[in-house]
Amino acid sequence: MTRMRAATAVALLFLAVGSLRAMEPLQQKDDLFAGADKFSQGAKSTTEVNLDKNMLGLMGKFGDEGEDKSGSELAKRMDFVIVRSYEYAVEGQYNMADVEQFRKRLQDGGWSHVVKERSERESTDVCVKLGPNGEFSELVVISAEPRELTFVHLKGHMSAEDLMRMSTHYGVQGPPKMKDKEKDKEKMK
Amino acid sequence: MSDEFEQELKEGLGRVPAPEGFADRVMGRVARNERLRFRVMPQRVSYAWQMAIAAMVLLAVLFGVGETVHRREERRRAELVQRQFEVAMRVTGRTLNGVGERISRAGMKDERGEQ
Repeated sequence: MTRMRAATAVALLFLAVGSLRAMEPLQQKDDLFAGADKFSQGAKSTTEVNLDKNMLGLMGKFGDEGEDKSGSELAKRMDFVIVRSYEYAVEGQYNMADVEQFRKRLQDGGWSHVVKERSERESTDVCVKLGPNGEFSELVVISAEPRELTFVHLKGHMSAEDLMRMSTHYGVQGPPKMKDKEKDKEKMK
Repeated sequence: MSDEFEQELKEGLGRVPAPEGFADRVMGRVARNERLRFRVMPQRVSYAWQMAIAAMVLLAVLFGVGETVHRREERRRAELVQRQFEVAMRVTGRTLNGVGERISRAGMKDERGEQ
């Protein structure tokens, strides 16, 4: 009887350990964009990604990426990746004053404003923190368009080259080429 | 003297019939002892072995199942993370490209204004 109890206890212990190992890790806490989920109200589509270092470390572990490992190599160097993107069917679904509150958070904390663009209908802020080797240690993008609002917060060791490579790797068109620019110029004329 | 001694020796070493039922009692006791030895001792040993083997098999099965479940779960999470990372990088890349395009458009407007 005692042996049976001991065996049951061991079995339960194994099951408990197994379930603890399988538990999902907690999401990365981000003070910078805390409360940004209110913009999801009235959004046609919402994209929210929150990956901490442990989760990013899983990438590439199973070799599903094929030969090009640049994505997982970059992921391994990241501390966290937080992206919130909201798309709206019609304009005026969010209040620009609310976005301004998030921009104000970038005024403190040693952020370097790389891009600060304001127009009637759009605004963009790109802020970075540099590491000791001149690499980006943190990157924040707040982009507000009439029908789209995007918040990006990346922390880790990344270079501008990494970001360019990442854009190519994940199928995003690179910056406009010279020919395209010339065509644009002609159109403008 | 020697005849007397010889007589005593003959009487002492002579065959004496066993008491009634002696052989049966001896054989009965031997059989009982054998039964006890083979019944009690081996069963105790085999029970312990059985339990040990059962415990080892249980542990091995639990460990194997646990590892398989854990590995499957980890793979599922890795695939999910990879997809989310791709989405995040796509959104970031698209946004940064949009910024670049807007800046170059603004530059072109300025150039046109200067001309």
